[in-house]
Amino acid sequence: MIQRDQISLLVCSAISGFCPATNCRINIHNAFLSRIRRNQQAGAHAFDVGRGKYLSARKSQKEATRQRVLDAARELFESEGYEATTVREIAKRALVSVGSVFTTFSSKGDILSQVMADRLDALYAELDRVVPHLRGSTPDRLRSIFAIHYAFETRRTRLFLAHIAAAYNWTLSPTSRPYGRTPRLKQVIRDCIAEGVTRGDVGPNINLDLVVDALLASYAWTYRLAAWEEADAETMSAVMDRHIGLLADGFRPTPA
Amino acid sequence: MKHVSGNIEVAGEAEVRVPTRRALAKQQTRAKVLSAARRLFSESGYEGATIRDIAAEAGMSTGAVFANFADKSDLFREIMVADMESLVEAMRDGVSRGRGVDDTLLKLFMAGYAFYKSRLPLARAAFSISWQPDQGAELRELQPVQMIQDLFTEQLTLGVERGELSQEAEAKLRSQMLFDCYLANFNEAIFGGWSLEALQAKAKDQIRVILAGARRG
Repeated sequence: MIQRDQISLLVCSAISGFCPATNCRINIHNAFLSRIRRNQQAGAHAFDVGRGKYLSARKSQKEATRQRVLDAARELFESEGYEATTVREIAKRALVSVGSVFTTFSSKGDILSQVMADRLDALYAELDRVVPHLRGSTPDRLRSIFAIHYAFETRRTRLFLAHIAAAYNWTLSPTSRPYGRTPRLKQVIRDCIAEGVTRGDVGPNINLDLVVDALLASYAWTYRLAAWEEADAETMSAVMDRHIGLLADGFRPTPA
Repeated sequence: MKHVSGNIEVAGEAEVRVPTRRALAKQQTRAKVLSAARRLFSESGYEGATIRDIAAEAGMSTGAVFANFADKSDLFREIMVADMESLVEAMRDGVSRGRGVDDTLLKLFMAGYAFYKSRLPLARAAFSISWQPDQGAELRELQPVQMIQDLFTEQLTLGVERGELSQEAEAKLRSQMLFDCYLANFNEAIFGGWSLEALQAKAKDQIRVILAGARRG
């Protein structure tokens, strides 16, 4: 699905080595993100047309309501913030009754979780396509994976921060608490390092769980720069790049 | 409570050592409000606890609460400052008993987890607030927050000076990573119900992994 020029861009930058300051990487991510956007638009269309044929009218109406609620909520969480947004406002914006919001979702937290899950589906579908084309050292590949995440999440910073804050919220049930439990990111990182062991640029004695865990802690808390200093994706990626470098110093294979 | 005596002095009674009865009453009111607020923030979180609830819990009017505190965030900040000042003390104590950089860092981690073990709901409320762009500002700019981070950096700097870590250890950056792990582990404590022993085992491993690269010359 990736355009040939995008692949070659990716490969080129990987061959030429990683440079945090180059625009090259940022360009890739922009191309990558616009690709996600196009897929989302196309996907939404296919979804309506495709489902409409197979679902009963009532079911498809329910699906449409659900989608309208999610769209309205996403916009309000981003513009007003999660705490300030009420379910009533979401319903009003989605042009549905408060009651019908609650037939689909159990709470505001549940809506937020679904909004985030939908976003992540698009991100990971694309990441799955890009990761096999990553080249270069393991730390560089890790840097690219995290940079893609920062670029993606800072497109809607406020929404994402609401998502983090809500992880600690009292009103959320344990099932609607996805932040901090990002199994797919965890798996991607894990696979990337495990491949490094196979290729030989990561020492065989690495404790995978620990390194993955430390990387995820860094990844998550680097978002404090967005919350507190309105840092952009590039700034956060640069910090994360250095964290990865420090950790990588510890997992390079020991010279014989 | 330092701020109270400070206020009294500002009020023009700098020479008076013993607080007046009125000042004492004010101090008691503040203490009552603060402990009620602490209970409610722990039970219902920051958003869930209203000034009205807090006043009722303290057995006074909302007016009396507002006479002592500007707003809810003022109340929460006051609680956090008091707690974190105690925490900094506990951490310094831990550091003074540490042997070597790994052990000292572990004692820092554990001082934090031991301190918050009995008040995890409050920690949870603080985390929630600190991630909100508008409300988070006040919390993160608290002096003790900075002091805690500095304690992590100091241990690494000392480790470099003692020759335990290489000169290229990048103490500041590495201590940020340690601090990130320290914070991230609160999720295991809050949501996973981890014991102090389990947290200690994890922290120990994390310290080892993060310092590994600083040990190679």
